[in-house]
Amino acid sequence: MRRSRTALSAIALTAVVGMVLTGCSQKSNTGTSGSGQASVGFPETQDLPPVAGKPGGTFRLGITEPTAIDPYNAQESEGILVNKALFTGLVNVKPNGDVYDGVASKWEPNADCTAWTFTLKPNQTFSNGEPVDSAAFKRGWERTSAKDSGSDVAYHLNEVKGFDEMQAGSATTLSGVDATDPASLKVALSKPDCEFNLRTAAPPLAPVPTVAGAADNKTYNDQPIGNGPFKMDGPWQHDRGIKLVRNDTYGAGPKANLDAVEITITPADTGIQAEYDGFNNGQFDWARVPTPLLSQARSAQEPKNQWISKKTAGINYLLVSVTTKPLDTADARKAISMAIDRAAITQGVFQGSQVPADAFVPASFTKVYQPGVCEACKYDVDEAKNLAQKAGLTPGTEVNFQFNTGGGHEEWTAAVKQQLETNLGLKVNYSGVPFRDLLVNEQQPDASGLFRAGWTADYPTAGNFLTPLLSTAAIGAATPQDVAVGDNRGRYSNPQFDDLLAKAAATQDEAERDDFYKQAEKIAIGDDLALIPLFARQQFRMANTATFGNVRMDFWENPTLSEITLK
Amino acid sequence: MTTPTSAGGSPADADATSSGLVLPGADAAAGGTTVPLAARGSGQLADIRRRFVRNRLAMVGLAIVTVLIVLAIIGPYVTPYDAFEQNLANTLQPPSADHWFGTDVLGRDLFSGIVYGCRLAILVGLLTVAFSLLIGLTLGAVAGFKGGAWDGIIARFIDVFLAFPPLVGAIVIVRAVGGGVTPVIVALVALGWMTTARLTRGQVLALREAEYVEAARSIGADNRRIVMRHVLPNAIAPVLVYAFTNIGVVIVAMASLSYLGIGVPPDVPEWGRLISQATPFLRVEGKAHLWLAPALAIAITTLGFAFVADGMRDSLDPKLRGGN
Repeated sequence: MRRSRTALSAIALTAVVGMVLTGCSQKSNTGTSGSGQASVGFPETQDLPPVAGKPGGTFRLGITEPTAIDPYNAQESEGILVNKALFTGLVNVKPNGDVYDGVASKWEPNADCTAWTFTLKPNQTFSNGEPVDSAAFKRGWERTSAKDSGSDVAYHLNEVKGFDEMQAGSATTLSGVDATDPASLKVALSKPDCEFNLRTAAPPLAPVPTVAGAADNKTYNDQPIGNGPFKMDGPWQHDRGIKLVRNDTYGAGPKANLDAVEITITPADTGIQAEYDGFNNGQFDWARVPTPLLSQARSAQEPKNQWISKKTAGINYLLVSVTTKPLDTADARKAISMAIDRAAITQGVFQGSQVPADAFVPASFTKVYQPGVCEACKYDVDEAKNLAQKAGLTPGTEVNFQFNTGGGHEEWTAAVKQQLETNLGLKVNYSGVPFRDLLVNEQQPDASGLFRAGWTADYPTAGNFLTPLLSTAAIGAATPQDVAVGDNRGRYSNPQFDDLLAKAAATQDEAERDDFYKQAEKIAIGDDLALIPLFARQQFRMANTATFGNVRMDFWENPTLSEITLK
Repeated sequence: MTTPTSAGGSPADADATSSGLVLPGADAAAGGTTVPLAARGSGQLADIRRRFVRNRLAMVGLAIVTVLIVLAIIGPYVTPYDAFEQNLANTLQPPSADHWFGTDVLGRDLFSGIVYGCRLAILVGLLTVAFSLLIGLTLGAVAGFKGGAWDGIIARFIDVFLAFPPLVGAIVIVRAVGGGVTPVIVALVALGWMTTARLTRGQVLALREAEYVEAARSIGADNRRIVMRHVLPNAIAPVLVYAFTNIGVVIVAMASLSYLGIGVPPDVPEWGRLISQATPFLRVEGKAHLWLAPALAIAITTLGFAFVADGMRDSLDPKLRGGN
C-alpha cells in the first residue's frame, strides 16, 4: 500500500505541477500586429549583362509531370515550358510581355479588328523537314478546336469564326481561317479583337506537321515534331523525364545555343523541394524554392548572382459571389477588403515574399497598372466597420469562406478568417476542400461568400485579367439559375464595364486601348470591388549563372531556354 | 481453489473458466443477483492493483495520462495565451520566457496550442474508443452468444469493414460527412469497432459454455441477463486492455487526418495540423520547435496510454500471478 500511496502522490504532484506550469490567467498575444504599412516584399533583381552565345552545354532542371506537351492541350507552366521549346507560333513574347516576331514577320488587323493577316517568313520547316506554312497553322488550330480532341485550352481560339461549330461537332474546319496562300494566314474573327495577335503565342495556336494526325495520336502526343529551337530526343518518359536537343534547322529566329535540355520529372507533391535540393547538390541548373526557405536561399544565392526575383503576370484574390447575400453590395465587399491586413499577412505568413495588391491588373503590366486603384485594398478597420454597418454586415453575420487544400493556402486563409472575425465580428464559415470541389462550389447559382482564387495571364494584356474574370459574357450561365461555366464565377455584371472592354478590344491604338482598360478596372475594382485583390504574384528562382549566361525568367515563369548559353 | 479473477487472459484458459470465473456465476445462480466486481474479491483487486503499482512503466504511463486528462479539462482555461489568438507581427519566434514553445506561422503561442490540442486528442481518443467499445461489445456478444446465422452475418460484416484500409476509409467518410471533430469521431468509430467485436466474440464463444452460465440458464435466466450479468463481465478485461491501447492509435489517426488537411478546420491547433503546418520548415535552421513540440506531444500521449494498457494487461493476466 505504501508504494501505491507514493505512486498516487506522484501522480497528483505531476498533475499539480502541470497545472501550475500552465499558469492561472491568459496573457494578451497582441504585440504589434496590424501595422497597416505596405510590405515591399523581396526586391526584384536586375537581369545580368547579356553574354555572347556559343554552342554547347546541357541545361538541367526539374518540373512536375505536365498534362500535355502536344500543342493541342499544353496548358500549365510545365507543359508550356516544353511546348515553347518545341514550337514557335506566329508571334513570340519577351519576358516583359513585349511581342516580337515568331514565324510571322508581319501581322495586321483590318480597320475594326475583325480580321487579321499574318505574313509568314519564308523557308520555315518543322524538324522533320515538312514546311511550316499557313496550312500548318490551320491544321494545328483545327486539331485544337475539334470536338473529339477534348482540349482543355481550345478557348484560346474561341474568337475565330467557325470555332463554335467545331466545338459542337458540326464542322470539321475552321471557316474563319484561310490558308490558300502558303505565305499568308488570314483569320476572320467573330468579334473585334485588336490584340488577337497576342493569342497566337499560346501553345494551342502552334503549327503542326501532317504527321501529327488527330489529337489522340499517342506517338505524337509523347514525341511531338515541331518547329521550335529544340526537338525531342526520344519520347517523353512519363514520370521520369524529357530530353530535348537543339534543332539545327530552326529558322524563325536565332538558333539555340544549348546542345541539350535535360528535364527531370519530380513528384507532384514534393516537386519544389526536389528542385531546391537538386540545385543545391548540383543536379539542376534552375530551381524554384519552397516558401519557408526563400530567405535562406536568397542569402545564399544573391551574393553569387544566382538569385532571380520577378513580379510576374499573376494575382491572388478572393472571388466574391456578388449576386447573393451577404456580399451583394459594394459596401459589403469593401468592408471585407478593408478589414484584411494584407501587409501583416505578407510579412507574417509569407515572410515578405509576396506583395500586397493595390490593384487587380498586376504591376508587371507597367502601362496599365494603376497603383491604388483598389482604394478598398487599404487596411482601415474603422472604415471597414462603417461600411459593414451600412451594408448590414452586423456582428454575427455568417460569411462563407472556402479554399482548396493541398496548395499551401491553409495559413494565410486562417489569418484572413481571424481578421474578419476580429475586425468585423463576422462568423466566418471557413472550410478547406479539394480544388475540384472548390471550382464546382463557386460555380453554383446559390454560391455565397468568398472563395480563394488566383490568376496568371495567358497573354500579355490587361484584357486577359478583366475580360475572362469580370465580363458578363464570361459568366457562362444561360440564366441566373444555371451553373457558371465561364471564369467569371462571382457573376459580376456591369454594362458600363462591358462596354469599355468592348471598346478596348476594338481599339488599335495601344495607348487608347490601355486607357479603356484603366477605366474598366476603375469601375469593376475601384467602385464595385467585384473581387478582392490580395497579393500580387512574385516568383523566385535559383539559377546556375556561374556556368550559363542569359538565364532569365520568361513570361510563363520558365527559363529562357532559347537564349541560354555556356559562358 | 485459486482466487477468482475478473478476467483470465485467453478465454480458453482452463483455470479461468473452471475455477476463477465460476464463482460469480454461481453466486448469481444461487442468489439471483450478481456480486459487483469490487465485492467479488477485494483480495483479487488488491492483487491487481499491487501488480500494477509495481510496474514502473505503467505508473509512468498513468502519470502521463492523468496529467493529460487534467490538462484536457482545465488546460484551455489556464494556458498563458488563447490558443487561437494570432499575432502576425510575431510569427515563427523561437522558444522564450514569453512563449515557452515559441510561436507558429500565425504567431500563435505554440504551448497554448499544444495544450488545446491535448483536449482534442483526449476527447476524440476517449469518445472514439467508448463508442467503438459500445458497438464492438454489442455485436461481439450477440455473435458469440447467439452463434449460427447471427454469428455468420456479424462476422462477415466485420470482415467487410476490416477490408477497408483504415486511413483511406476514414478520409472517405470525413469527406462525405464534412469537416469537424464529430465527423472525425464518426469515421474513426466506423473503422475502429471491429477488433473489439472480434475479441468479444471470441471471449463470449468460450464463456457461453461455462458451468456458471449453464447454471444460470438452468434456473431460467434469460439470454440478455446471462450475457449482461455473467458473460460480459468475465469477457471484458482483454477488451478493455485493447481499448486502452487503442486510444493512442486513435490519437495518431486523428493527427494523421489533420496532417492531410482532413478533419478539424485548419485554423484549429490540433497536433497533426501543427506538424503539417511545420513541415515546410523541416529544413529551416532554428525552426525545429515548430514540429518537435506537437510530435513529442503525440509520442508522449501514445506512449502514456500504451504503458497503462501494458500494465493493465500484466496485472490482469493470471499467468503472471505465480511470478508474483
